[in-house]
Amino acid sequence: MIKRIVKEPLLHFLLLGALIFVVYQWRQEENTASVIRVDSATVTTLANQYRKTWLMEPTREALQTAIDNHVANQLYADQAFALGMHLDDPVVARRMRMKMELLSELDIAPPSEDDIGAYFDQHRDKYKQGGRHSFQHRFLDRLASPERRREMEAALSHGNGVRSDASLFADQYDNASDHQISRAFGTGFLDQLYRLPLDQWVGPLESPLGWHFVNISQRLEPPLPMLDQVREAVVRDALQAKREQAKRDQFQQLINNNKVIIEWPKDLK
Amino acid sequence: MKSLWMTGLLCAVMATELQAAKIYSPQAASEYPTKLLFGDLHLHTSYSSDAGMIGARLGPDAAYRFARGEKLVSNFGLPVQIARPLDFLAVTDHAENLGLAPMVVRSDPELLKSPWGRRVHDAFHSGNPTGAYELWMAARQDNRDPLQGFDGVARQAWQDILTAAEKFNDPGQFTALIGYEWTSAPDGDNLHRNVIFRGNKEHASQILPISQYQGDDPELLWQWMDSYQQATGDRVLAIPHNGNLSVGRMFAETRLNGEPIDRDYAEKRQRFEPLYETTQAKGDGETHPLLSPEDEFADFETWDKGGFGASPHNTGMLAAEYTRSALKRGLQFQQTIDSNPFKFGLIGSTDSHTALSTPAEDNWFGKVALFEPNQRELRFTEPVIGRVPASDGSDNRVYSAQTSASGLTAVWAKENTRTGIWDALYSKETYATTGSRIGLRFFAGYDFNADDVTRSDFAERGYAAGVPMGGTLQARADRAPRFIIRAQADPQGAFLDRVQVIKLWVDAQGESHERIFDVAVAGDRVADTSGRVKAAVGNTVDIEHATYSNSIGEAVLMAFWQDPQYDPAQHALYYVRVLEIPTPRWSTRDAMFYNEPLPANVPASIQERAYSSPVWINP
Repeated sequence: MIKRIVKEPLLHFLLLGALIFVVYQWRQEENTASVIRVDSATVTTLANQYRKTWLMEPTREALQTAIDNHVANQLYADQAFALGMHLDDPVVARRMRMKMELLSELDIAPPSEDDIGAYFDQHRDKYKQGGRHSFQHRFLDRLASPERRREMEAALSHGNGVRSDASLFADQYDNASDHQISRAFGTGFLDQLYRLPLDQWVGPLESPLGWHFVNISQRLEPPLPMLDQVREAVVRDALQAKREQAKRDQFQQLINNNKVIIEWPKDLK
Repeated sequence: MKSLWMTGLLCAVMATELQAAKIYSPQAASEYPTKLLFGDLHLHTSYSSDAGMIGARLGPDAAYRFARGEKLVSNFGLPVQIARPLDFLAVTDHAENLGLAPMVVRSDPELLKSPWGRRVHDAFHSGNPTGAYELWMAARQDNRDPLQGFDGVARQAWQDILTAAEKFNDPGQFTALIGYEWTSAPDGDNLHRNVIFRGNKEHASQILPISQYQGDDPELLWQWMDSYQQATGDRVLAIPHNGNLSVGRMFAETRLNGEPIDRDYAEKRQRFEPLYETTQAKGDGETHPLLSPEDEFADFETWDKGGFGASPHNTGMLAAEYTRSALKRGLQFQQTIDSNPFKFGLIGSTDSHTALSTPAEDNWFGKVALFEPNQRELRFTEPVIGRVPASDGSDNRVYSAQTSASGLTAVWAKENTRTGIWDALYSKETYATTGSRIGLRFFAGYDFNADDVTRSDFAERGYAAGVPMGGTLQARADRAPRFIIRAQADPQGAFLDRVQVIKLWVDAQGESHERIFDVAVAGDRVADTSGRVKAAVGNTVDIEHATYSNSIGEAVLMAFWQDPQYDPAQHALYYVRVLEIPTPRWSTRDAMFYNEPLPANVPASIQERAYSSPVWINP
């Protein structure tokens, strides 16, 4: 009887079916139920956090509550991620971007001597201190008639002393930087000054405030500085440039690995 | 022993140099200030919690880079550059939880040591920056330091700030002054002070800034300043914030502790607070229309609704909130207690919380990051004052459109260095402007003549025969003080409308008075018998295009003036106010640029101005 039953193909079929079902169930469970493992390091961290917040030793119950809370956070987060809830959350996106950008800056070594040298060579103009002018100056009120302007021009060219009209301009500028001149006379004045010959009275030049005669005794063209003179600023800027470059590289890599498609709405104005 | 001997020798050499009366090189021999420098002494960055926790991400480095002329990207992503670099800048971040925001952003381990710090950190990083800001605000309202016992945060932040100042300080070209703001606000009434250091990192790194958590009485701050000076050999001065938000407390007739003002208090205040911030983004504080009803220019960028707290405001408080009335009060004290607690020079600054010093009508990046030009929902209509309703139910709101693109500090200095600028500040050879770079210089003395105004050695003559702005003259029975004044338009800006001398004095009964004299005006307008020119200069502003033209006004104005009603027995002072022709207000330029209607609560055009430090006459 038993022998017959054992040989019964239907039984084979049923048994096979059950086996498949069990294995399938078992595999199913292993695939979908994720394991939340709270390792001992995490428990220690939670305990430390408790000690810092409440300034006392956590009881077992308190620690269990903290662990439960941690587990709940993890479960919700996992579920939310699984549902893709983070995908359309701009706060998460911004935060992740910030983390990534910070990451790009983390490994940046201070600029090497080569970096500094290369950066300096490429940006030498930036460290120009600007030129300097020393000049005598006479000012005429903006309402001064053409005759007065001509008279002053003639007097100066004959080496006669002339007095400025009252203003806050000086009669003599010594070693004035480009910035100082632009600030005192307005923009545009400096360009005129650079074109003028030395050691003779020239004018009148016009500024927003009036008429100017100048006699330039010395001009120092903007010198190209030596690295050692501006080293601190170059190191500062080279490091900043490295940071920005790292950020750009990171972004470039991301955009290279992805394809961006923008669908402009048809009805957009 | 050898080094001691060397020191002795060096001292002897230096002493000899000091004694040498004659200096061959004419420029080196110049003993008076020749440099007119413009800067900002009140600027916040992300290191201030009320900036960094609400949108400001630019720190002290960015602040200095920007002031020196570098093009940056603003907190909310706009390219921004200053039209002309500043000559000096003090980054003055709030001492209360200095550096909280950057420490939160970079998850600084020092911050995370504190449970409260971690809470703020976690709130911020879990996508709830508003919650993080509210945690901080709650602690501020309790006035308890939430980081008590966790000094590491402030220490780290202060080091960052000092490092930035050292990095960008460039003697002769650009001065990065060290400073911070002590944010005393009893009941929300604004008694803030900016502390400005004369020295360098080596001095300032020996201490941590004192904060309101240690107390809100300015006398405590002075005590701290005194100890700092004695401990380090450095010097510091404090500049009170514009008093218009102090709810009657900035220039109250009693001390904060309720005791009467005595000589000791007056002398300390003079010594530690030689300057006052008379104009800034939160309104102009020269005077108020109710205090100066005869002054048609008094109602300028007025904020008179009270402070940040719930304290109700009334007009009786105004006299303790404005520059002109405070200066008068000071004279009254001089008369009654023989010392003047309110003997201050004038400066202007932005108080922007953006790391961007932009007090220009065509380049205003707002009082806070949330008011940057592209923040259209907030830029005009967000309440700044009155977020807490007044306890008496009155409407106390002042809106973001009413923030002022102001101001600047001008100093006459011997050199553009920390010591050069600090010394000029301490001697009050300063003036405030509402943002433009108006040139102004004047001298008061007894021996000036009309010819002196046009002399080519104007300044030399001025110092030789008188005192500059900020000075004090002894009264003379035989002669009234005489003034020689020169004012010059901003070479990149608007022409000048007029130059005024404003006289304040106290009579024998102790009553204070004020009187305005128009001493130089553009065009062919003439003064009436009382010395006033009531006719306005005109207005060329094209509102639609937000432009103006220098077809009215004058480039240079000058005056020789003698007080016609001088009484040598009276305590008096004189200061100079210079007015520009009308130009478009920043809100008008905004409306043009973004094609929006003009905000209704502000004028379309304004007259920018300069306020000099006074010259006092002691009878």
